[in-house]
Amino acid sequence: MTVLFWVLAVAAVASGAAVFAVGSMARATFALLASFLCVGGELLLAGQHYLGVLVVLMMIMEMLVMAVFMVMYMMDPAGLMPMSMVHNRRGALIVSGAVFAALAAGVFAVPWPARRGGPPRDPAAALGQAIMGPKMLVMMVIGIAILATMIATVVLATRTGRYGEDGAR
Amino acid sequence: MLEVVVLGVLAVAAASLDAVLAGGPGPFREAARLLVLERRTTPQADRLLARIGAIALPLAAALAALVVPFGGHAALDTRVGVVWFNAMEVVGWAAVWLVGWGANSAFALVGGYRFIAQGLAYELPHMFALITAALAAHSLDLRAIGAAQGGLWFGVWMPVAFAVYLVSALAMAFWGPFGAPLGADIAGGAALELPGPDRLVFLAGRYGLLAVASAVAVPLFLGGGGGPVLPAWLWSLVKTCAVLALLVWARRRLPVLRMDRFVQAAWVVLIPAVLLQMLVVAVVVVD
Amino acid sequence: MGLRERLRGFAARSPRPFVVSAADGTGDRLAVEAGLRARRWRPAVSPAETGVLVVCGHPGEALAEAIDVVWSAMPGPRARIRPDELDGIEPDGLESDGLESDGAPRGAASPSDDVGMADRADDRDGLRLDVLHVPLGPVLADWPAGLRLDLALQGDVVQSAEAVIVDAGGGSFWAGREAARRLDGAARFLRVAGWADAARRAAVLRDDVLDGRPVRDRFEALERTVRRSRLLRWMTRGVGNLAPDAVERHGVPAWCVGDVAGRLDGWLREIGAALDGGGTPGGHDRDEALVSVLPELVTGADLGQARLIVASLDPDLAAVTARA
Repeated sequence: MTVLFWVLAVAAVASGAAVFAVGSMARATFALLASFLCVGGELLLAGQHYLGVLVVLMMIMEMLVMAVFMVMYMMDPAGLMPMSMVHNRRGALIVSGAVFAALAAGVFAVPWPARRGGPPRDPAAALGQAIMGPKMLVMMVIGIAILATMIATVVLATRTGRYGEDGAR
Repeated sequence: MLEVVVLGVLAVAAASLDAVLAGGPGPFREAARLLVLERRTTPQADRLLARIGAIALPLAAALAALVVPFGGHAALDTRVGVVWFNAMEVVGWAAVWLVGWGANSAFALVGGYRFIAQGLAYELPHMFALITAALAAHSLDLRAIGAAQGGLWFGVWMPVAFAVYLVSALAMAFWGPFGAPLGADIAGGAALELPGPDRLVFLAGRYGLLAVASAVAVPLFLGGGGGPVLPAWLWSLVKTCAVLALLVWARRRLPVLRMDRFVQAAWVVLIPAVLLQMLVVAVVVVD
Repeated sequence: MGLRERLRGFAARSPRPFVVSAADGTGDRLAVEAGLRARRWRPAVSPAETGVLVVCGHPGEALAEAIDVVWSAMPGPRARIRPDELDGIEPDGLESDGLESDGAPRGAASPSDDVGMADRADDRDGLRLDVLHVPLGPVLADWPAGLRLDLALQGDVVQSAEAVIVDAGGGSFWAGREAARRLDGAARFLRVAGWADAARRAAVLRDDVLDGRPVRDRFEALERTVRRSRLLRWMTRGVGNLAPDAVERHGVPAWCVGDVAGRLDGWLREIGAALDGGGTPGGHDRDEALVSVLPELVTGADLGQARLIVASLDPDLAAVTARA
């Protein structure tokens, strides 16, 4: 267990670093995806099966959609020329260094609570109760609103969009 | 682990049935042909990504097979089998896109993107169909869902969800009417430039995915291992074979769907339809 | 390596040839298609997935050059054969060590990947997007022999197109065989539309018509299947709509007016009439006009639609006088 944890942890950080070292948008996207998959693996190790699998599921879909947009907006769609994934090197280093220091300080500064009770028999159900129980109305409204927005966007895009039936000619 | 092996055998059987229906050589002869084909790459191809894509597809199919129950037993003991299957099936998006991208060829790239568009069309109806069955059984465990259909199969009293599942099973394996990502109109699409052995691995993964998708339909909608006389695992196998044969048969019987038209139908018709189905199921189950 | 030799021998008994036809190669192509069916072999959809190339007819200089480029990039073990050599396929010794070599790319590449750097241009919303120049044909499955469409693509949407006649002349194979011609067109159209079963039935009917066998009943069954397919109608309706004034502007025959679905309908009617012994009302097809109308029709369509549009016009370049 512990070995697996460290393997995944190192792999997550390494592939996260690879995002900035590789020479093409596609490789950067999938390096980031690999990093997220390792995090999903850590969640599985922690016994959060539902959350872990959900991270894997959502991250694959999100990274693929991201790849579509990244490739669409970049200069060189065919990836023929290696390109740098790093911009504004100094500013980025300062910001990321500060964030890392703050988070690391937090790890040591926060008094971690001692464990009370054991893990629930069904973590997924407990999680659902925690989120959905008292906040059901909010969740429902947000969920329906997001879905309606997505459907409306697609309907608008297909009916009169650039490549839809009317826009085609 | 036996379940995974059985699904592998079923994938080969599906390839054989497809070869018979197409009037072509069987899968072993085709595999041999691909194996001895010289490895050849296009200029400036991203071979690493293409190869990851080719391998990812059978790997995802095998991992998805871990949670498929035959009778009441699956290789992996997990309570979130439905979500696991869903996650592994989405790996196919990455696999096809990587293979299409890696070739550095226009038609292959178009094929890869076609599958992303297809994914965006089928995935939401697919997820809602999965959730509908899970909702009725109060569980994300495929074994529990299969066991919850003692009286009436879910496929009978939630036909819309079942139909949507079958459509999305074809779509996730980019099979038959959803074969546009590998379409003949773009000279084989995403798989266009795959070298022989890689192509073999990739296509084997596609048959594997098809077999897994058929097998998951059984606990979700066809009563799992339930049935008279025969033991539960055998009923699961028989039902899986029936669904798989139906999907393989459908391949050549229908024209290919283009996503510029199908996406609209998926979002404007399929999603509301399956949502209504879920509402009906929720009202019945909660009462 | 005994194992590899045995694998090779096992595989060689059912090769998967890629068939390319010159403008005058229609008769050869039909013979090859029938030959493949009789042997239970299947054709390849791209040259990259096979090492066996069948060249039908007599390619002119330009087409021969294009075929050579494709040939040089095909993976070994390779064999380039004439239509009557299906039974004696002898792979050359050129391929070096197929299984483990990661060899450098050999020769140019297949038609689809002489992509080069993309340049950029405004799309119709004024976004600056990349433009890719991609030739469609002339070495492409189920594609009119000798035709090449030079496309400028943004994404998979055609922004502009130019039709080039790469190979022409030799006299049409179809003179006096109108029903078979349309059945052949329908078979290739259905393959492009991804409907393998219907395409196969149409191809069998075509060969039977040419052999003088009775096909009336089987054709009616096929016609019913195709007409009843809502999916096909859904996918072809409104695609490649040709306005009536094109008849005068381009000199295309009147049956071309309308969309892809309408043209396929027209073919089915024409086949039925021809099988009943009626003459064909349309007369000659003026195939050069069919080519000249293509760029305008495919502009704004995506690649899949463009393929359907070309297949629904099906120009026969053998009927076009060869140019110098």
